[in-house]
Amino acid sequence: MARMKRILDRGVALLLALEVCLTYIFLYLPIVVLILYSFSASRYALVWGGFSLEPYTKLLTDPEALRALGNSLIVGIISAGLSTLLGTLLALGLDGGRAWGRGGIEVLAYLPIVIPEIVMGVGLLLFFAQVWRHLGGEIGPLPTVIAGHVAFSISYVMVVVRARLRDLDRSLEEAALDLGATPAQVWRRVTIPLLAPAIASGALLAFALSLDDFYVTYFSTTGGSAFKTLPLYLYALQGRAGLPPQMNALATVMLLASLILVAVALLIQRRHPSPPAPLPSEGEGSRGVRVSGRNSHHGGDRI
Amino acid sequence: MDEVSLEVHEVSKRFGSVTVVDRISLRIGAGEFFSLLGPSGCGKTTTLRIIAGFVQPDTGEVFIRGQRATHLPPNERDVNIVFQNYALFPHLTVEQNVAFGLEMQKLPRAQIRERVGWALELVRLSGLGARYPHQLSGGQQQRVALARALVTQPSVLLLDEPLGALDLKLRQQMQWELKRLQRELKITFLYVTHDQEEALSISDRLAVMNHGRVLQVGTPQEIYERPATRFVADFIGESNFLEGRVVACEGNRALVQIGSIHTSVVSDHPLAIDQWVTLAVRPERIRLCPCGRSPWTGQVEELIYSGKETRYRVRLSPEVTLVVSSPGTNGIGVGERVGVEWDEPSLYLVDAHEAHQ
Amino acid sequence: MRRISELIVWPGALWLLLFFAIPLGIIFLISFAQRDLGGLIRWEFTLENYLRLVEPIYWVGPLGNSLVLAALTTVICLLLGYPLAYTIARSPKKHLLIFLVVLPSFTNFLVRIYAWFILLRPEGWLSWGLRMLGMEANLLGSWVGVLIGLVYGYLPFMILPLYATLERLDWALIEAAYDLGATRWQVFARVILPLSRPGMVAGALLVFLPVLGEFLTPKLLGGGKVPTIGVLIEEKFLGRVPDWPFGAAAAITVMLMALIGVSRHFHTVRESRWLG
Repeated sequence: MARMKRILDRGVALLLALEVCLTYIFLYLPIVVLILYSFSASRYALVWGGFSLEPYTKLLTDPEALRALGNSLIVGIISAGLSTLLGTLLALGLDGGRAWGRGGIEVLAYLPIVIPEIVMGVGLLLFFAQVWRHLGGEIGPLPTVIAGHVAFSISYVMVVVRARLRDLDRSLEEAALDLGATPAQVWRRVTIPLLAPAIASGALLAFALSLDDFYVTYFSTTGGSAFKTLPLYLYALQGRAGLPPQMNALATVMLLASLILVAVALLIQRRHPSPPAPLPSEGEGSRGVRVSGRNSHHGGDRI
Repeated sequence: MDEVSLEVHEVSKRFGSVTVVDRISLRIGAGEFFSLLGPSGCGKTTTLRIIAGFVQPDTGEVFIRGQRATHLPPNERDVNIVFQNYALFPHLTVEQNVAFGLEMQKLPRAQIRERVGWALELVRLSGLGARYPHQLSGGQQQRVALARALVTQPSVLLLDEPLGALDLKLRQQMQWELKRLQRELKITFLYVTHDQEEALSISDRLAVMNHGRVLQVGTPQEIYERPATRFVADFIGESNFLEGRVVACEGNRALVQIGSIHTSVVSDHPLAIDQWVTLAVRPERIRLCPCGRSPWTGQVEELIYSGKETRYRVRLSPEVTLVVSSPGTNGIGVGERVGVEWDEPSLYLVDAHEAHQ
Repeated sequence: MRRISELIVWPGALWLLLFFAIPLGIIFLISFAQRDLGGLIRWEFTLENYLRLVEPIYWVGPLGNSLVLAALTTVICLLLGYPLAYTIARSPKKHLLIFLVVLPSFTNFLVRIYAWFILLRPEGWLSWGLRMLGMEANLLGSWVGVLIGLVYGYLPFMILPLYATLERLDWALIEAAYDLGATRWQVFARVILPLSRPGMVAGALLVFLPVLGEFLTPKLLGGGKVPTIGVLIEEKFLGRVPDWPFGAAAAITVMLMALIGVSRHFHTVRESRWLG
């Protein structure tokens, strides 16, 4: 009986391991295919035709692709910058406690994360097509797209910064006040430096979201415009008589670029780790020192 | 008290329906080491935070060095607080932490450096200036917090149970350190703790608090020898409580009947015949003696030997049990009949009520 | 400090109001309008658009498809993702492993779909593999193909929150359960599973909600045979025969479905720390 149980246990463990391996293979199959085919000499992206660097050279000389790349970068950087600023301010402001309209703003801020992107895209399409036109102005695609990207990125940045804000030790801000700092100085010299990793994460997230966004961009430029970001450019490709090979090269390049970004982010994290608990040493108490946290806020401790 | 450095007058604070601080008034002199002692939830930390400026009182005033400070924000008050969890800025070095308050005062660089060096030396942490808080032990962090609060030389230093996280030996060491520092710097210390031994050993004066009220203020000796209420007698050290009825009184002495025994007690509190009172006597003030010597006799129910002393539980009657503490050991065993005696001043009144029991 | 914090929310809030809330409001308004000749809007109130949606052809069709797809995707992702998340959480190399899970997501979504083209075509690898096994299947242009594409795209979104929750699990609880005599299965079912509920809820939301509004994967991998509400919406706004009011009604419906799905677990979304 015990032997059977052991065999059963072994079997389950084996099955698990198998499942894990298969899932990883599943995850990487398309990636491998992409990278592989990016080195294929062929007129079509999906057909193998001998090893070659042709797709990459074609990529570098494809004006449309390069323009799309440029657009994506511009949109990405601008929208990341704006949304990081606005999202961080939102997180800091919502932190101050309940006041006039706070609850409503909070709900509003979380909605973009919840609502499917297609809805937001449609909304922006209607907004810009109808409203702006009626107001007598024609807005170019660039501001339109940026407006949309910032709109959904704000929420993500806010969530990231807020999470970190929650973990922040309130007594640090109190200590700064106690030592003579004005509220503005407290923010400048204590709160924001401590939030820096979260703000940076938020910015990276916003940038990545913007680069990758399809729905909002597609709909808000009414799908047929000449202005294309990378995802739009890629989507337009499938209308033609076959996908061009430089697509695979593009994908591989983007993958590499993301890897580099992540490496940079990790390096930043390593340089500025979040403050861990203090080390115990000889003769030290084992009781956790981090007694405070939310307790110190609002003067609520009753010790 | 020549100069009053900190005064709190009729300060109250309610959170919701709970009154956390109930009309507290205190006057603390310059250079005093004053403690607020009480159990968890008694309002001592809230009182401290009101003085520091993080909590606005509902009623009452706070005066710092004679100036009204009740509505001043914390950054404009000349008090500094050492937080219970130290609240060291994790993104700044030790030196930068200590320099923070001086930088807020916009002192010149050279002067800041000098003062920081002085402060670090004061707490014996010179040389660790370039470290970050997470690289220090708990005891070292505590000293950095102290240095940071002291370097600006505030009128009053507030300490919120700063030694709570340290183990016994280190805590005792730090108590000496704090006392020494305070004497040297002559800064007024307001110290909050729930550890009565600690409060008794380091304070010049202390206030015992419970349920938001100050029950007694005095020197450690006064508080220990003459607790004013039953709570104080119970919270500070240990007490035996005896309930009895006044059968006779003359001047400030009264004869109280407890069960089948009578004893006399001295009291400043005016007493009337038939009044019910609570008396208290500390275990270490009771002596065991041979049965014949005292009208109070009983049987030893239990004893615990702990090296320095032996504690006996002696049952005098079905209603009365006394805990007696004697140094060393007397060779008395469980079940033996013994007598107990005490000097008259050791027995005192802690409570008088009208209710019949 | 209070005063400043009251003010600084406004830039962000105003932006959201202008470019998010108002557009949503416009969709809402338009959904009650009528279609004029060009497919655009004739401003006369009607409930016709919503009534059309409730018609069987739409209810069973796009709406139903979307719900079914979303549900299936969520379930499959959960089944595939849980063992993975669990294994990674217990592994000493967890950081590397979880990074490897996330890495494919760094390529553009569209490109990955195209890659599935390669794999799912009749001449593609997978079909070839299936033929080896004696099965004939045209994966591209079928439900299976779309499902594969969706599961592929959203699997990391299920794994990450699961991993985050499992990683924080107090293993002492599991040891305690073993100590009290529980078998492996009991420990899993009665200790681990309940404790991983927050992660499962978060993951389910992160998969279910976006898939509801998906149109890329169903359109590209479905070859027209898998109409979802997303495909419908795109058609009605940017297709050859536009019908904005109807599309607006469909969009509002999707939004409502998402909101209902989330309202029961709103607090979980708020505290999803995996984003940090």
